[in-house]
Amino acid sequence: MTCDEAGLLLHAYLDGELSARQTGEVEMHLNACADCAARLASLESVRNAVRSGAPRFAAPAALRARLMQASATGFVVEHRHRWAMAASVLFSFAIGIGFMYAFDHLPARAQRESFLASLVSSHLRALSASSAVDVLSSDRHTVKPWFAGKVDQSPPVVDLADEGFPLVGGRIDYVDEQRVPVVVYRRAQHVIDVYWLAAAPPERLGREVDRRGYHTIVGSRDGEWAWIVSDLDPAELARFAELLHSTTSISR
Amino acid sequence: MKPRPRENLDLGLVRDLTLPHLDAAHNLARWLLGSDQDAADLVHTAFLRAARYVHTYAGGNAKGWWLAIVRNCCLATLAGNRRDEISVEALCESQLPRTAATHVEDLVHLSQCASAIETHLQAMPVDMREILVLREIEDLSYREIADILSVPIGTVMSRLARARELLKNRLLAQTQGIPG
Repeated sequence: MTCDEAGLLLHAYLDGELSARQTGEVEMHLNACADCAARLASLESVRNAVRSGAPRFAAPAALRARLMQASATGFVVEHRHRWAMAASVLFSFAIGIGFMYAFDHLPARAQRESFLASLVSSHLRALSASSAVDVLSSDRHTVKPWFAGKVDQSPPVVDLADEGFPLVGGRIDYVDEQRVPVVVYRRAQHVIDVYWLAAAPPERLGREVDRRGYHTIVGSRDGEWAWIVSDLDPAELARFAELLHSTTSISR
Repeated sequence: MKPRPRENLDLGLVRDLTLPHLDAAHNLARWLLGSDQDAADLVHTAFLRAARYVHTYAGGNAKGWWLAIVRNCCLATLAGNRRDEISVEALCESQLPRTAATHVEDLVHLSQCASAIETHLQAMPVDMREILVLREIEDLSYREIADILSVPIGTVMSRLARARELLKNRLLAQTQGIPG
């Protein structure tokens, strides 16, 4: 590798965006070339200066409240849609009452939808909180015992750091009023939540569901059901599920 | 199934797609527009646009979809304000001799530049500022940045490289200008 070839790759190397092979080649060049090693050091100090010196301007609370309000009251609906909306509300009431006469309970599909919705909103709540975990540790021997005594059964916790899915920690969360242990993993900056449920969820096993950009995959083991929720790329999430499957003997 | 008013469904969806990434959206707008008030107004505008075009969301990375809308709103605002934006490519070619900061004291200076960094970053051309914000502050991957900017990954890589070199040169120029 020449210095010119290394030039652009140094940035990608710094950002962890190179393949294992390319990383090896760049490192070999860096060992041999003092100039490029110095360039890398200077790029690193520029990056550190930006990361420590440039503030992240978080959204003001007033803005968040305004948008929550807007999405709750629906004032963003444009004027010309009002009549159509009123008509469709009436229509849906009529249909809804019809359904309530027809069935004395909600159809299974609606139950499943509501379960999925509460799972995804639990994941979103955790993401918007200041920390997505109650116990922060990449050591499974710290995370697993933490659950003991807090839930009936301590969930399986595995170490997938070598495969690129480091353990972040765990938390206790609520889904449909159930107390649920959640094991949290990470892939780059994507958070992966694995919910372990004791009761069978209203969903056929092994299905992948795409809900609002959050994918869930489910598998079971000894009467426990694992639900994986993340906005990770579906192919990568499937790989994660496969790894979890092989290391915890989940059947799918 | 019980049909529900389409608008209500869309609002719930747009809330779930955007609000978890509100800080990222505000941060990007703040860096691109340079003022707190403008940034908050812009995010509100972008939210309304997201609600109107929520049917264009086709699954996948919600953060990328939302930040792309915020960025487009910002660029539209900037284009309305200033029509004489300098071409970034031309600027880089002309002002960027390939330099290496090999002196130890240069590196020390660079690491002490944290306090001046906000001013320098704010003074960068828009294309470079946004890519540095997305990469260094929001910590997005090349793939995610490429999706937000609608450019190939190769372009992300080369633009990021030029942005860092330019920032480095400006920081060095500043530290060398200071006596002592």
